[in-house]
Amino acid sequence: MSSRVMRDFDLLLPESIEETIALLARHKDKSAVLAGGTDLLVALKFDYSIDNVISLALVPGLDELDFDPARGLTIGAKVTIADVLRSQDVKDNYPALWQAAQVFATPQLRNTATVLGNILRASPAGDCSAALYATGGSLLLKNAKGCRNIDLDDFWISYGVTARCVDELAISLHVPVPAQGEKSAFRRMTRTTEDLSKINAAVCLQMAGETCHKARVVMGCVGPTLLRLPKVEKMLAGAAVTPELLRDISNVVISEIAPIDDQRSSAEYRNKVAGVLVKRVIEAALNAKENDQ
Amino acid sequence: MAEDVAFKHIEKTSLIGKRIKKPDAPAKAIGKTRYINDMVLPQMLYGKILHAGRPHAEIISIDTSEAEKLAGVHLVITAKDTPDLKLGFVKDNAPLKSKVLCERDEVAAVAAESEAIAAAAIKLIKVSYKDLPGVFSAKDGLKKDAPQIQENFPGNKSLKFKFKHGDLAEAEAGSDIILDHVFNVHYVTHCCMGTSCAIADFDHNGKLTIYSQTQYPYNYKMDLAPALGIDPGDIRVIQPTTGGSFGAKLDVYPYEPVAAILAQKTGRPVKVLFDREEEFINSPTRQPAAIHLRTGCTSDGILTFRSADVLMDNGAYTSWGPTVPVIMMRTVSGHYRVPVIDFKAQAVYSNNAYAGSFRGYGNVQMTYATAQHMDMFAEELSEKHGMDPIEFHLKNAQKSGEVTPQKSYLRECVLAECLTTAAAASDYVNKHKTYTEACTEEGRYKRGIGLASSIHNAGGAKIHKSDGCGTILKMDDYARVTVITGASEIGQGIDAVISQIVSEELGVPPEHVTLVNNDSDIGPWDVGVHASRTTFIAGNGAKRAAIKAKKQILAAASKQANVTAEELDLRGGYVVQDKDGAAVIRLDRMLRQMHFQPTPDVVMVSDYYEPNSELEGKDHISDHSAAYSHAVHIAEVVVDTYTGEVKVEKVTMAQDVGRVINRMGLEAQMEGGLAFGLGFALSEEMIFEEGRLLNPSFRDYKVPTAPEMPEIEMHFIESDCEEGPYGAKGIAELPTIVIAPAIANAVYNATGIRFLNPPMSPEKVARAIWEKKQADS
Repeated sequence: MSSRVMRDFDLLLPESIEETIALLARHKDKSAVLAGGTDLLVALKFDYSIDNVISLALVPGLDELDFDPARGLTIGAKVTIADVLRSQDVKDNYPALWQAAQVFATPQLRNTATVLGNILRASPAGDCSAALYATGGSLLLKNAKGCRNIDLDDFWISYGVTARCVDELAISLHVPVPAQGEKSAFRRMTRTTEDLSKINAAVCLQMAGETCHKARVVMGCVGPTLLRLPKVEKMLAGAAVTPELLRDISNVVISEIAPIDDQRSSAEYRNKVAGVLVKRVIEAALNAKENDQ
Repeated sequence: MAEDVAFKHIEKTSLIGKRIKKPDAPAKAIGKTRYINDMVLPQMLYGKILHAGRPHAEIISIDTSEAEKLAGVHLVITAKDTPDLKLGFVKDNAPLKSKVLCERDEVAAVAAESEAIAAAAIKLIKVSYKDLPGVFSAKDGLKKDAPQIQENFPGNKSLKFKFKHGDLAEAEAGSDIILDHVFNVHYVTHCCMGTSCAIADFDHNGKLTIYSQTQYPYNYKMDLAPALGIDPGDIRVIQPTTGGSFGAKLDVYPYEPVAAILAQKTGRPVKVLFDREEEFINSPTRQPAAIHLRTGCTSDGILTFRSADVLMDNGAYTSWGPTVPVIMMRTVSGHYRVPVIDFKAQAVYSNNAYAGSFRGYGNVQMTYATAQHMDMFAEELSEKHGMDPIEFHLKNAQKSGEVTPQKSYLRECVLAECLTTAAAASDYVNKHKTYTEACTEEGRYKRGIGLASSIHNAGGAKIHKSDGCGTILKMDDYARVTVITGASEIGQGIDAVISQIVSEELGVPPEHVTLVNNDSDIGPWDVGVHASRTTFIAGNGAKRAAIKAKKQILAAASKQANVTAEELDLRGGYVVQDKDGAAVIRLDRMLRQMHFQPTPDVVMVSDYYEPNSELEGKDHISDHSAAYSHAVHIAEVVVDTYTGEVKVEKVTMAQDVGRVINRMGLEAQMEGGLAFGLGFALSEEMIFEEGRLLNPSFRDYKVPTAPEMPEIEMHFIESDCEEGPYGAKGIAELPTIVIAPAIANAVYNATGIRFLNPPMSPEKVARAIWEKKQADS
């Protein structure tokens, strides 16, 4: 039984951040924020209990995409995937994010979908989210009481659930300045090219010559949220990245993930290819060939 | 001589084989086309169907009272309102159901002022079900204690087919190699961009006008009438632009009579339009099948017999799906020269989705099996006897004039030329050898090359008493031509082809030819768009009508020019002298002169073309198509042995097209057909769990997208079909049929693993590679 007619809702068009926050405070969980809408408009067809859609279309001050060598990268709530893809600063300093943007859905969706929307969706398959989890970052949330910063490490709680309170508006994401010798990359596997990931991975490595000082390694579609792989990170930290180490890492990955069977793939398959993908994404970061997907 | 023709000479040129733009393409490309899905009629209501969403159940009660009370709802109907109305190939289906036999079953329907109200009303209908144990595979359906699905079909046995030729035991005894495999061919669906839609409208005399996506408007009336309890003559079918069909609309499905019943009872036009999820769940599928194929061969590489035992899951109702053995057996008996044939097929009722017709019609399934057996023989003969693989194929390839055991008469047969052309163009033999040697070496990426071929009807298929098509052609005073044809345009390109053919005969530009073919009250009869038949049949009809018109004009002109009609021709908008192209009179002037004279002579001609094929009988021995054609595909793949991903890099195709008519349309059919087969081979699969479809969306059902398309090299072999228009044969189904086994054979070449059960998804390929590695070590 299906009826996918979008339900009726009120479209609210605030013209400032303050007004938006006031609307959120009033409507709380009966409302949803519309930026790109590529996830929300689909969700609204599935009996989503949303009476009020609060559009950010007329709200100024949310489209900043700014890189400062001293402060890092700021991504406003209305910055689209296509904006990120056009940014030479992102391409030069945050290759993982740029690579995730490059393979994100289709040109039409990239023109509409926002980076923050991808994070707020809290999907374990989020491509930009995986890249940003690897580079690290913090979200600026604001409600009537004030602002708070929350680290991405603490943001995703379970599938579709985040630490955002219902009255909070995500204003922007801050990504730190890349460390000396930082190398990052994103890789994924899909069924067809313009598709959701069936499994994805991102890494951010601090390299000094052949030696890795510190590593953040992230996988998607292998658990209810995006996962970091602490054992792999530990193996990389302080080690020379040799083919032998990569082989050992490849064998350890399976012990850190918990994929399931779904329509996009099987647990068996994800378990088997996860090691290959992690090895591939590390090699990609070190070889820094952005276009080699 | 009139001034405007003095010293004017027009060379004889031909449009046949040229690239003609499809007239509807620009509007479609910029989004200006109005599809049936966009149509709104004054006073129109929106119909919505409540589907059961469970595979097998008794309906204890239906309470429609809450739905009826909702403001804006005009009518709610259930099976009680439509007793004894029957539908389907063996009349085992009904518009609305009193018992649930599959997930899509239509339980109730609503007509309301808006789509949203109709959707809300559907949710207010309360149905109490008693779930029953179900049958979810053909095998289970045959078990002694299996639940009975359809009352009138004991043992759940549906359609059955049989064909035998020659002595099987003797042929087996004379075989040096016998291959014996079961191929399980899966569920896929058409994925038309325009979802299913019907708009029904009754007039005050009780005559129904139905706006429909059907691809067989004339027989459609006959199939729809019993589901409404009206006379077929009281139905007018109008076909607005449709967003794809590919066989999906070759039958009447319950939503169509439901729209009509709602319209009849409310006195208002009613539109039923599926959303994408409804489309996935409630559309016909490709017929799945378990094909037990046995093939024999001598050590000299001569085929000795083919035996196929096909078990088909019929689903809950019988549409065209379980009739596909009619074509499957032509492949078994006609794909290469096979002297002894034993074919059996049985369809078994279940509580699964039911299949309809789908581009390739049984041949996609059967060629997946036969073409892999051909490759297995070629491998073994090459390994043991050093036989060249192409030589093996050529030894068994039929030649012009041969007749198959089912009496398919291969008048013009160029299978050998297709094989040698494709093999040479792709360097098949060398690459195949190189990749075979590399197969067992270490390394992540493995390359493979695979060859497959098949045969298909290319001059219609006479499964009805007539396989014909009517044409009416008229010319106005300005030399513009209107062609009224029975042939439907469902995107396949008959609009361009008919313009081109008429233009070729009458010497007018193709854009001066208008096609009228969307109204059953206007058009003459045609059996429908299927069996790769339209260019062949409707093209012949249009050509014959245009020749009649030309004769009429030249006869009139001959009097004026004082020469015989045979010495004249029509070129570039003029009547000209045939020998030197000297213009005699402008064509529009000629037509006006013919018209405005004491005895008016106006160009209005008609033709009914019936191909010279024979009706498919119960014994399946007949020359059922006016032409047959072959195609060879050679696929080159790269397999990532770490991840199981198969990338098709290049496809070289050689196909007998008879004669190229519209080169652009032909290339598009090759590309589109290949995309269907590519999805079937690699990524498309309807996943069912106890009769419920788990992936009813494009998010979870993966059709190939542009980046998945390989490089395609096309070779059109022109066999010059005597019966076809200008020598043309039907072409549209073969590209879908041949590509999947070509890919499977290429994957074997790369990995040494046979995939008998498509799709070759990374999950399946990776598992097979890992298992092989473990077994080898």
